[in-house]
Amino acid sequence: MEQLEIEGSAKTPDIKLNAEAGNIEIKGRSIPENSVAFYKPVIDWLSEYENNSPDQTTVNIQLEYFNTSSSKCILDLLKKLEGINNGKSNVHINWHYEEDDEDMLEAGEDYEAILNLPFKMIEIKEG
Amino acid sequence: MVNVHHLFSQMTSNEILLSYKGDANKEVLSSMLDIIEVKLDTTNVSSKLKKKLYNILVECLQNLYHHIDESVEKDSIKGIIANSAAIFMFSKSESSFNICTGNYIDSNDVEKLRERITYINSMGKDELKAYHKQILNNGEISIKGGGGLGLIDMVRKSENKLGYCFQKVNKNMYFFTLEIKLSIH
Repeated sequence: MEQLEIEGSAKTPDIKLNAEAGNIEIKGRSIPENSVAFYKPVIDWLSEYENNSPDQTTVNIQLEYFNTSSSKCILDLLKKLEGINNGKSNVHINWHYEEDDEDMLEAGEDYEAILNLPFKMIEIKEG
Repeated sequence: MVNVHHLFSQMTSNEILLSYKGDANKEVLSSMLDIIEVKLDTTNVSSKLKKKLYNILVECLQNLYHHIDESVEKDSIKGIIANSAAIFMFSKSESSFNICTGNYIDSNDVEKLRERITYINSMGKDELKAYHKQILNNGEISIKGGGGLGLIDMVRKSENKLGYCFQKVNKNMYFFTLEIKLSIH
């Protein structure tokens, strides 16, 4: 299965999806006007990954900002991973948030409450 | 009821960080966000507050962009809208940052929007958190935006109620003004 890499921009995050290693990384800011279009390749990739996943899947999400339309898309992709975690691959989510960014921590906790997936909240210390 | 003229005269007594009147297309929106980011970097406020502000500003501007798009297509007096589609004002007083947006809306959408804002304004912090989770999880995903999460997010991040007003333009259209205040702690 092919890797998928999308380079980040001022409005969109860096995305690195590696099926062989079982690594999924989303990093940066996610404030596109059309989040559905932006996240579509990621959702499509995950559909294929579902049947090509190794035993372990590690997901790292490190967002500086995200808009509300991205928040829905992120939930969608996490729901995909929830399905994959159901017998196909052990999925672990690392939710990174900057020191003092309570809103980002809370957003992670909201996803954790909605989903049946193991979350680890990781604080990024400044400096 | 807040009056739009009152809002604006109130705002002009503040330090205006950015104001805009005109067409709210993607390019304009992106430029405004760039300017805002530079302005915020030079403002002496905590990074925590900057983040909240930037988040709210993104939602406001994208709301404007998505909704203008709708009304331009729907409304008959395109001429007026094309020349002055939206207003946006970002200002600072001693105690708060203020964001004000204005756009034309279809008169058929007024009551629904008014009810929605009243409902969101009636909720406390915990209720809003629960409501946000509910909409996030059950709401329809839309190409236009977050399916109604924007207003909830603005109230949650600003920790203030939304100010708003609807002014009748003609029988088909109203001018909708939204005001968000973020206190400087």
